[in-house]
Amino acid sequence: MKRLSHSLYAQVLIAVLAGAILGHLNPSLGTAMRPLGDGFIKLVKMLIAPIVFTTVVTGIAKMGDLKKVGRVGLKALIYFEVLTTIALAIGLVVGKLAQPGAGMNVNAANLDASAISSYTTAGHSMSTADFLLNIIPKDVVDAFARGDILQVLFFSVLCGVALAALKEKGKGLLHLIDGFSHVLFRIIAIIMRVAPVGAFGAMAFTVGKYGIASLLSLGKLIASFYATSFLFVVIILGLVLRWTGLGVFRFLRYIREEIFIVLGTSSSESALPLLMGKMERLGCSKPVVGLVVPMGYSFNLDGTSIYLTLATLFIAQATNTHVTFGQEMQILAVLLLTSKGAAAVTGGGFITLAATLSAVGNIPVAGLTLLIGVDRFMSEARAITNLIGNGVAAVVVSKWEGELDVTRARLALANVASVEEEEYQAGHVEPTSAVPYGNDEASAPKAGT
Amino acid sequence: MRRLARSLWFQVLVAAVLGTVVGIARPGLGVSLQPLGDGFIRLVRMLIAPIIFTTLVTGIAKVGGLKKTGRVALRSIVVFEVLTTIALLLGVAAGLAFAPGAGMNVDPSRVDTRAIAGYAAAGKALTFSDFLLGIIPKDVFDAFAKDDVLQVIFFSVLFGVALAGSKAIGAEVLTFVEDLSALLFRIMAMVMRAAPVGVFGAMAFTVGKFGVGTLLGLGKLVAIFYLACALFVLVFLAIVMRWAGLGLHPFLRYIRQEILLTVGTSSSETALPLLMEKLSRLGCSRPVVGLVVPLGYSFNLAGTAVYLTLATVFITQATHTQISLWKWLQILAILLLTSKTAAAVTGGGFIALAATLSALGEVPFAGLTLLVGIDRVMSEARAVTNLIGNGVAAVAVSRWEGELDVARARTVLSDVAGVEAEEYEAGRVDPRASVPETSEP
Repeated sequence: MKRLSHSLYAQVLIAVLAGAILGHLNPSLGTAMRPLGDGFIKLVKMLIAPIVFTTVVTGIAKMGDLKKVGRVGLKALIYFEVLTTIALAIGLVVGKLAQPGAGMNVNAANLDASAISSYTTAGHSMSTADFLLNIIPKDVVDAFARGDILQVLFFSVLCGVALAALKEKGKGLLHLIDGFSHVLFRIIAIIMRVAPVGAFGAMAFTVGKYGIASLLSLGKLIASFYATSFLFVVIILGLVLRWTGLGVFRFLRYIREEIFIVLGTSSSESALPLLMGKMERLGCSKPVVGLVVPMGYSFNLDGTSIYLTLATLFIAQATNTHVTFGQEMQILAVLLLTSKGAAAVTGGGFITLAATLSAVGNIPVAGLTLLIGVDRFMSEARAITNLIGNGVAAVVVSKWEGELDVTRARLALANVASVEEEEYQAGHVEPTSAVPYGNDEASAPKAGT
Repeated sequence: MRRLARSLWFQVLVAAVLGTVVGIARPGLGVSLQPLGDGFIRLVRMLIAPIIFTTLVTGIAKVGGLKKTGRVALRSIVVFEVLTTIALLLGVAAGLAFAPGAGMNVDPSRVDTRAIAGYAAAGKALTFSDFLLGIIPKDVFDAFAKDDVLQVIFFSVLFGVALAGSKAIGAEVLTFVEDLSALLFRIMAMVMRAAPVGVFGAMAFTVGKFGVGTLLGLGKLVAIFYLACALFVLVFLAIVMRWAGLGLHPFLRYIRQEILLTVGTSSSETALPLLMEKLSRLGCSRPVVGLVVPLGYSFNLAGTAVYLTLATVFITQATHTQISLWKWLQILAILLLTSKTAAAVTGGGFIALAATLSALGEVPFAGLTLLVGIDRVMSEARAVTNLIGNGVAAVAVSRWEGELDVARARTVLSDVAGVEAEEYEAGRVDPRASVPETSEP
């Protein structure tokens, strides 16, 4: 029992429950708890850019090979492309089978579209060339100042490769950046102590503001979305993990802390630093984790993909818009592109949805209004699925690179409780504390041995 | 041949020619290649502020304290003032001698000024004291984030001087900044591999969008401008170089890579890091280069100066505006100030021109519209002249400081191919790789 109260995941779980109860019993008090959740998310977000920078730079500099960096990046992109396509297709299939919007008979002309006008304008914009150009920072410091993850990632990769090429001359800087990395993870460890407070506040706000009632009105849509996300994780991601030799349920148990934090805050970014640390401790190689996880936050949004197709079909059904098979394929094709831009814009999935609907044409964009009330609840499942998807991606790409220490990973998964206990005692989530330095390149065991 | 194909200047040249061909043959395709050029310029730009910072700080901290830095800065300003004044006069002289705008008979009240409305607004603004105040950053990181070169220089000088004053404790910081400098130049070397792609895209865009046709329409003005720039470089800059003990032509050959890059991207900033690096390898002292070249990008815009007066004369001629001699002196005085602020604002020379015209009042502002179409073509010559002017200024100030290793410079200039090959082999533009520390007294 004492151990349980020590562990972060139990604290977060209790906080989430307490928040939900408060929000339900006293909605206005619950809504007032919002700053607690927002504050926690801000705390984590302020550190994400430097953490990505230090992790990627040290990872690549130690890996020391431009070709390999390119290969890992390419493999990651291929994997992202495949998985998100599957996720989009699954959303489409479930939407057709479950018919969540059937019988709602909404007249699009009667909907008040003013609530979504800001989303639809943000939805226009951005061509592919613009998107690519925007990955290059205007100025290095500016990229950090604005916390633009793709720009930071881009510069970090350049920096890491250059540092590796400098060899001896770069040693001093590398040491310094490594030191920074430790400090940053240590700060994250300190911040995580208040994770329960943040999860409590965010949950109380969500339930207080949107209420359980809103859940019921669009219950079928939410139920299908949660069920689909669950099936996606268990079946698709389960199969993928099976290929690497690990079990999905143990994996989920291993990252339960991250899952609960995401559930509480409904932002998958709040768990990014923790997830990176955990993946390294699991036995994924450091450069792979450093590259794959931040990239995945822009390109591997499995939960968002499921949501996009499902919601598109929902709106079509609710407004009695007939969608042909050809159009379904068109929706899929458009989404394959637009879903990649989701993270580059604030507001995420919702804006992408607006962009897609206006691109497809005959589905009324005003139908988005139907979703606003429940979007927050959908975003919980979306963020969790995205999180799990990125964790799995790091494992898969590591394995593909032949750099996953499967024995070590099995051991870590089998022994979650003691890992957490150790973490708590040490008071940190610092990745290198468990992985001895030499392990990085010298003794990285090949897969399957 | 193999060596030639490997050298950056040759690749850039080929890319520029290919880009031009694409722009002429398929203008639509050429225009759509703009992102390639923009992307490359962005790649270089993102590194300029930190490169200026590390170069200036290491340079100043190693060699000079406040006193020496102040002297170098002062001498730079003197050289800049002299060069830009000559350039301004040259522009007036060329305009009066060749009368490019005579016979155009433009009625300013009937010109559609919508295209220049944006410039007009940007052209007002900025008083002199605002300009000076603007050099002090609001916040150190903000200066870097906004990429404000003057603010970065200001802070870097303070930082460098302070570092020079705290020898013992500062040593570690200095090592760190030096390492950072090596890292940044290494990244720049990687970025430069993409230079041909960028030049290809930028060139295809310029030719595709503005076409060879616009060149002919205002051909006389363009031709005179190019001629005036050539005159400025070949006569006045050659005299300055002669004084420093070097020949202009070997120098131009030595920086051909930077010249081609500037022509291709029509932005002199893209060649700034390479130029700084080349000048230190030539034998100019590092702190002088670190100070003069970035400062020159704000204050020593010789090409822009030629353009400003020439364009003013052109507009008065085209619109039949009579200007007295007394008024001309006044115009020159104003331009001496406005030409300095050109780099501080995006849009460069064009905005400075707008500022000047609105300050004057006499010359019809609407006349600017005549120039919008060919501005891009003019900006090629402007940027190249600015680039060469800054290189020469750094050599001149080094010489003035008694820190130019003339013997070394002559050897380097006579063996350009050898230097380039060495650069390629080393795969880097890291200054310390080829300049032995001992060359800095």
